[in-house]
Amino acid sequence: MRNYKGNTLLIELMVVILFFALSQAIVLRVFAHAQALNQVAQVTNIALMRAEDTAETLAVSTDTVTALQSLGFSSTGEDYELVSPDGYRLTASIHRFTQPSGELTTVELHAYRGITELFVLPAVRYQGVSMP
Amino acid sequence: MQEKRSLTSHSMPSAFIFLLIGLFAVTSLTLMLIGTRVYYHVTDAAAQNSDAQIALSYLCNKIRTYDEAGDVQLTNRNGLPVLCLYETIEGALYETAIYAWDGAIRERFAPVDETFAPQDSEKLADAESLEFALLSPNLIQATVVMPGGEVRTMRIALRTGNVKEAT
Repeated sequence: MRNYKGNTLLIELMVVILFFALSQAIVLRVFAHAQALNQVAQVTNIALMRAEDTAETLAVSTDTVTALQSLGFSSTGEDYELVSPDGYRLTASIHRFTQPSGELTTVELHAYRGITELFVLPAVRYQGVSMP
Repeated sequence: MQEKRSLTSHSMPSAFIFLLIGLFAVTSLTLMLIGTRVYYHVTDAAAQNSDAQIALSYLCNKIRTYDEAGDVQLTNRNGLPVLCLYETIEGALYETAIYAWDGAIRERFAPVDETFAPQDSEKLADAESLEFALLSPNLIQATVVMPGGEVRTMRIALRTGNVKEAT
């Protein structure tokens, strides 16, 4: 009878501990997910600020390529790329549209974290032809 | 003999139970510590991010509002780097000065002929310092050092005119 009681208590305790252990595992996963989300948010935020800075600089610069190079971008063939130690990568693709009234330069800034695209920010610069 | 066997069979499950409970207590405590650390880290980072973002966004919007030729000026008052924004109200010229003083970014709105007193201002956000640099005649770079030591920079291009730089 005494042995039976002891076994019941043990089983009861093990069930309780198992329940709490499962809860702990779930909570730990949630914490890890929160941490990961926070990191993504931080990287996105920093990348966005850098992209905005780039767009602002391009808006007032006369030479797009020189401006990109002064901001730390390097050429990768067709596009320009900046790899940040903060964990993001910015790429800039330049398109030029020449019209009789002037030249429209659009730069598409793409931000990546690994292979995941975080956002796209377009920057536009118009340089009109000065009329005589 | 019977008594000895009974004692052994009873002490084994008890030790096991205590071990189990001890293990549970240790893992619970570890989890709580991890949870606290993660929570602190997440909230702290979010707060810092939003504080810096709010300060810089406010500054950017303010400059955009005053983006007219000659209305934006970088200057130095009482040794403080100050961003001055000018506007005329009912024929009188007013100045909005934005600067960091006493651990906070502050804004002072007053007539231009009034003596500059950094304490006569409204607090915008906590910051250790705020500095401005003129990268080109129409490109301002603002650098904010947040209370935690985090440095944030932002560039603002003026669309309509150049920035005046005065000493």
